[in-house]
Amino acid sequence: MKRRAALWLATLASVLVLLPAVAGQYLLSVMTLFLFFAYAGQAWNIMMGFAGQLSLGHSLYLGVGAYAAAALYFHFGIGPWAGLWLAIALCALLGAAIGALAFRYGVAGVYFTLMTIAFAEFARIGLDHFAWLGGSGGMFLKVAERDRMEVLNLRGTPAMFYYVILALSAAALALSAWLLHSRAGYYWQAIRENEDAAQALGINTFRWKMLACVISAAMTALAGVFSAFYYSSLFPEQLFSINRSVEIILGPIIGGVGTIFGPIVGAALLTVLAEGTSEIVVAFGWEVPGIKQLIYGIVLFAVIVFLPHGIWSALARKLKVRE
Amino acid sequence: MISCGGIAGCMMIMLVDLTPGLGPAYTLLAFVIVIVGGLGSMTGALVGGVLIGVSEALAGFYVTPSAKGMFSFALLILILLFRPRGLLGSKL
Amino acid sequence: MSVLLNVQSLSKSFRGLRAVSNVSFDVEEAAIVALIGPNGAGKTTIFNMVAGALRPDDGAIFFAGKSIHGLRPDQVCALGIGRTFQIVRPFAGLSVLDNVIVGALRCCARVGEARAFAATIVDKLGLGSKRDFPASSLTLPDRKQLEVARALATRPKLLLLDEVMAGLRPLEYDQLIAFLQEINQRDGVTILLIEHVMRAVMALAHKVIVLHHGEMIAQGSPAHVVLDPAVLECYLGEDLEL
Repeated sequence: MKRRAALWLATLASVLVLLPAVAGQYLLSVMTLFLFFAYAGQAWNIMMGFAGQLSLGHSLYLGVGAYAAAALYFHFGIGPWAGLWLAIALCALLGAAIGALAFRYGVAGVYFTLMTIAFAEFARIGLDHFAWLGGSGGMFLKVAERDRMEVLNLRGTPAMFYYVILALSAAALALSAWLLHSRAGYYWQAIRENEDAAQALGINTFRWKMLACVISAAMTALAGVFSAFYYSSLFPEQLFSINRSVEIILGPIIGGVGTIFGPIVGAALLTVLAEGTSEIVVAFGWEVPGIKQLIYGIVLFAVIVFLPHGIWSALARKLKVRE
Repeated sequence: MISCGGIAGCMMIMLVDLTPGLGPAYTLLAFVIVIVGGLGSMTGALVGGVLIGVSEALAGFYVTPSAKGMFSFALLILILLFRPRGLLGSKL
Repeated sequence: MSVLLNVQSLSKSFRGLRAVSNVSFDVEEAAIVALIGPNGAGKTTIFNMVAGALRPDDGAIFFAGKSIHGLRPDQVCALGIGRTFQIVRPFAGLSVLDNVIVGALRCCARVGEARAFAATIVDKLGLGSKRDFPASSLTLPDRKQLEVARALATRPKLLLLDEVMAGLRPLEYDQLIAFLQEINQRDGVTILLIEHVMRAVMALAHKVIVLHHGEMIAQGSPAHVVLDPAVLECYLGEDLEL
């Protein structure tokens, strides 16, 4: 059984690695988007899927991560490979602060989720007015010439960005798998399932929940850094928006919260559906704005009703693969 | 309850420009008001509404108008931390 | 025999209702002590206070000479007290074995070690054939066994068992009684148990403490307590499974 799973993974990995050689501009950008959400979804999954803390404000870390690295590059010419450390540090601190505040004062469940939304919105409006970071008009990073590759400054071809996000997603996958089977994984799941029982078994739930928040935030920071340099432009309204937070969680929820492959499968399905419908709509010459959101809504609804454990759990059973 | 929302919407249009995307902002604001005022309390919702409305207007006046939302969310965070049942809510 | 758990003048009220009133008792090391009394007598409240889940209004609790008043449940567990819950709380989404591994991780540094140790406990409690089943699929008696297994995996010096015999068939509780006697005599685990099943109390307990309306009305050996008129009076009309 393990051989079969390894075979599947190996095939998938080779396809993904060789893709830029055969794919066109459009397919590459779609795949990059898919991998972006696969990565961000996995980061969020650690906090929710493993530890059971629902955050609807993860766009906060995307935004802070993006602006941290972008500001260093824009104002001081410091490249993203150094800037990302600031991004990670800031987001880890933020994650810790929000977690500490919430768990110290017993803010749990829906109230915790509301608090995460509040922080993200606070940051969004705040950054809209922060002139040094471009305010609501946005911040724009210098774009390099078409075919020049400046890996150091993350300026370059779409293929370069693709490989960066592919590497990030693969690393996230490895990290998630390792964490889930470690002490952290067992403790987080215990906390998720029944916090009182977990405490009675000697688990310091405050510390472990904090750890989940910090790791999740730090990972999401990297997605932010990537986003800043990939799009070369940052807008508070987009980066910190609650829509972005919702987009991040759609993948894991549809694919299967708490599983290792769930977020990836979910992100894949959503990307295929979204781009697929766009293509069909364009091919037919229709104009249906908002069709993407509509499709997301329908799929989410269908999954919650028919496959509440997510698509991956059902798929894994069919393929006789165990995580 | 839903009809109340409808009436409120109609009255608001005389003050605010109409766009399809204006819904979510008010939904969030409604959450803030209900939590601050207190879940399960009608008076609370009224008090919360007045409180948020007035403070947003004041904040908008003394600071930049477009930043008034920050004040509401900051207030929400404080309430969630120190008085989750809200100002007039019943004990959870 | 030294005293492992010392409870002094413990009191707790809920919204004006006196749940526990001035209760004091000792549990000697390697003893099995039973806490009995009609429903609502305050037995689980006492457990919750000892385990750190509730803060006493008044009184002191000493474990191995150290005051554990006001400690968090996880700190109390780290000192060596394991507990089960009256209303079972399994980790529903995890398998039986994984449930116990969570407990075993308190003392085992590595997951592999924890898994091996957990497996032996699971087998001993008769859940071996169900080790990979999700906890949510277990029957209530099995869930109670799982609670015991999980608490035991933390290698406690004192085990607090809250009505673990409820719902078991006679053969099953004889097995559990034998198991508890074994861990008590062979491993020296001290046991404080809340029970309604008198058969288990008579077979296991070295000392019985009787609570009624939050107050202790008798304590002593099982044979002595069962004949105490005050005890018989409070149980009048109650169905004692002897």
